[in-house]
Amino acid sequence: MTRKLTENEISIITWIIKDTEEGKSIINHLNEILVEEMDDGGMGSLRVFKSGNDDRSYSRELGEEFKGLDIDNVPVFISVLLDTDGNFFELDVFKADFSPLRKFPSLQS
Amino acid sequence: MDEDLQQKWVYALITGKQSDRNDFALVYAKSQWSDPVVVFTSLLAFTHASIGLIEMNTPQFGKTPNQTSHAVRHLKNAGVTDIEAVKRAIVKDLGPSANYKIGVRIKKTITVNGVLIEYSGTKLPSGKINIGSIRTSNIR
Repeated sequence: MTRKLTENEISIITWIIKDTEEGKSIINHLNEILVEEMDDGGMGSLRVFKSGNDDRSYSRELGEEFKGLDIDNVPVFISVLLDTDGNFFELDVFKADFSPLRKFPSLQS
Repeated sequence: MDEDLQQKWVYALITGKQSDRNDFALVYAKSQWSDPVVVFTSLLAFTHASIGLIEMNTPQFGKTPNQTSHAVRHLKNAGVTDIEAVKRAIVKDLGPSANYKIGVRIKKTITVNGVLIEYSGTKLPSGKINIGSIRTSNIR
């Protein structure tokens, strides 16, 4: 099931990639893109939706990794990943204890 | 064996917590070595504590098969098929859990079968290290 990014997700992604060369064009489209939740045990990782044949693959991480806290105070690490064409590919979310994310971190957390 | 010690032993076995195992082993080390029961149980406690330390130093790559698969998804797409070899290399590269600070991101690069691989994780308060992602590295 696809959905749009939440405000919190957009804020974090923007924070991560704002100082990168590719960042500006990605940030400009964050309100429009559709994402799918990934099967990561509920930690909150997302993949940018692409209709039709999906032959994308991971290329590299963009920007600085964000470290926040879930409401149970477990650290959460968030990274923006690009595909081989330099497009926003995935939002990788890793909660330190592998438990499901209770609330997506905010820049203030 | 006095009652306090017996209780500590039982508690260490039930909870399986490393701190309890260590407490027990320490108390036992100070107890009477002339008692054969004490000697036998001390050896048992030492073995139990050692197993605990080994468990603690073994990193986890996910709590469920889906999470493990998620952590290595980019390796498979990049054509790295021997995932177990990568995991073994990470375990070797990490070394003892005591080398890392709790809650701080661990991010390291290793070469496995000629492929540069970047992995990241973090250490939990229990001493366990959880590895959240393993990807091919783009460092040139």
